[in-house]
Amino acid sequence: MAMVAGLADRRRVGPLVQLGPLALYMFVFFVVPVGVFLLYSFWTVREWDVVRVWNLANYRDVFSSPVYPQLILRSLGVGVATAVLSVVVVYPLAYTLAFRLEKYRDLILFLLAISLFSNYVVRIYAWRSILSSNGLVNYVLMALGLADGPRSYLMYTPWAVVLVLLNVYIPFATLPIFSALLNIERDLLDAASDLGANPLRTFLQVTLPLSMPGVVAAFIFIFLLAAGDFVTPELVGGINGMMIGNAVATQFGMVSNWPLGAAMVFSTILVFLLALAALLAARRAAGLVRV
Amino acid sequence: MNGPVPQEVGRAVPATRVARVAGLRLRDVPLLEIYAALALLFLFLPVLMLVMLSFNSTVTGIFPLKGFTLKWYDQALHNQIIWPALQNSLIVAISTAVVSALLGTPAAFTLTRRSFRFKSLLRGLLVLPMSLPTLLVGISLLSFFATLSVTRSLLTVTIGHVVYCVPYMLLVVSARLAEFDFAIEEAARDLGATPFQAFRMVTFPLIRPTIIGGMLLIFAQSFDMFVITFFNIGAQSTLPMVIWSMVRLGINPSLNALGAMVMGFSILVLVVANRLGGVKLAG
Repeated sequence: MAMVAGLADRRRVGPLVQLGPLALYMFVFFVVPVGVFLLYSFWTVREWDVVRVWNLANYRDVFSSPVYPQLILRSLGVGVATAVLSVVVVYPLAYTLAFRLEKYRDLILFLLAISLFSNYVVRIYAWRSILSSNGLVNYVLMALGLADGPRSYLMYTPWAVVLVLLNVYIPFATLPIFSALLNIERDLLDAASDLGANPLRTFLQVTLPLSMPGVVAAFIFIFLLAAGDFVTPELVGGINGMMIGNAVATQFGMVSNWPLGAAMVFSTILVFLLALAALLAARRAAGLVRV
Repeated sequence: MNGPVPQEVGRAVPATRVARVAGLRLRDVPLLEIYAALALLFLFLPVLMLVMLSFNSTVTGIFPLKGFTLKWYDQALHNQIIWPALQNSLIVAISTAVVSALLGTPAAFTLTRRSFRFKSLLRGLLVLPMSLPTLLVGISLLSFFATLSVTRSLLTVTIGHVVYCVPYMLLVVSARLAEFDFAIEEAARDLGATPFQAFRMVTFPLIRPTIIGGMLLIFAQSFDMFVITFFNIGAQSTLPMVIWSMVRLGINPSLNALGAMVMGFSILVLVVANRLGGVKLAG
């Protein structure tokens, strides 16, 4: 009896011992800090010290400022543009990886892992020598006779930021789509072609819909990472490509108004959620009209 | 002699067959493969530029390339700032890998082998940090430590790195366990092994390559991590912080050399992780 009880206990205690430390760690060092950070946005700064006086002044300052709303909208815009471009650019790559090139698959996955895990700052920095007025692109354009002198229109624009973010996050976009494509049962594709569908129709009606969960995951992934990036706009964005992340980092660096910085982050999240809600409502309304 | 025959056949077949023949011919041109190669070229374009410029002898003006030189490597290696930074980077990366393995591996066992309420919700929460902007993770931790008046140091940096890296451990080990044949462990139990013995002598040796591979992966990631470090580091410095300060100071050719060497080291670590064969990020 005692042994049975011991076993039952172990069965109940086992998962707690295995999962407990990680769950506790993530609660203390992830969930609680994000909560504290949210609290900061309602506090205030007096003489370089954070004072725990509750108010909404930070949010008022963010939304009534001439700069911050623009930065928030630009960050969300850059996030959407990067996510859309990533999915479009990466899909054929993931498709090739899943259905062709079986021989090189492991090598390519390894190359993706390399750029996923190495040289984040330096890779962004290297783009300056590609986009700047005496960089690679202008050099090639001049050599081809397409430009008559060094031009600087490539650097310091929101599009430079989008291009570099696209480059940095390609592996993040490829892996979810590749996984989704790899998990499609080959029998389904064979069935479609046996029933007379041509390759294009098989792709549009079977492969693409079945890979959509991966596409959606990649899109959300890239949107969040791109909209919240601050190293890329700092190095290639200039004033016209500045994003909310830069303003937040400044508040946590030189300016040292942490509550205002916190309010900027949560204002961005708020605007994003409102836009998402509006989008979903519009979709539902469109659906109702159609019915 | 053979010329007219295919033409006649071509006239006779229905439109769909013609399309399929045309499709076949289009398939002879490996469009997708060419596209994939171009996409990978785009992915590695900045890295290729970096390596190329690290050997370029001119300081001012990037193009055209002038001559081959190793002086930037010499200069980078003689920069006294990088050695303590390298040491700090190694301390943080090794600690992050070890702590992530200790926390992540047992959790992966429970998450793959047991079923309980809110399991998928919990799993989602545990892997969430890897898909959030590092800015949010870094600044949240900064304000948390400031509230508790914790002095920033390599310890606070490591704590932050683990939050961001542990999801990778969870995913890598879970992927391995999903295809693990637990019947061998049961066989060990049937032969009289205690649960701990069965784990230590059967299961663990089989998944050890995956755990070590995952740790190397996390080592490489922590070694390269900038944003979380930037907000949580105190007076000390790590390699990405040194690189960042060089970047902020403007064009410095020895930066390219330093970046190329750091990247070479990361690639070496990842090659070893890959050789162990247990690491799968997708599939």
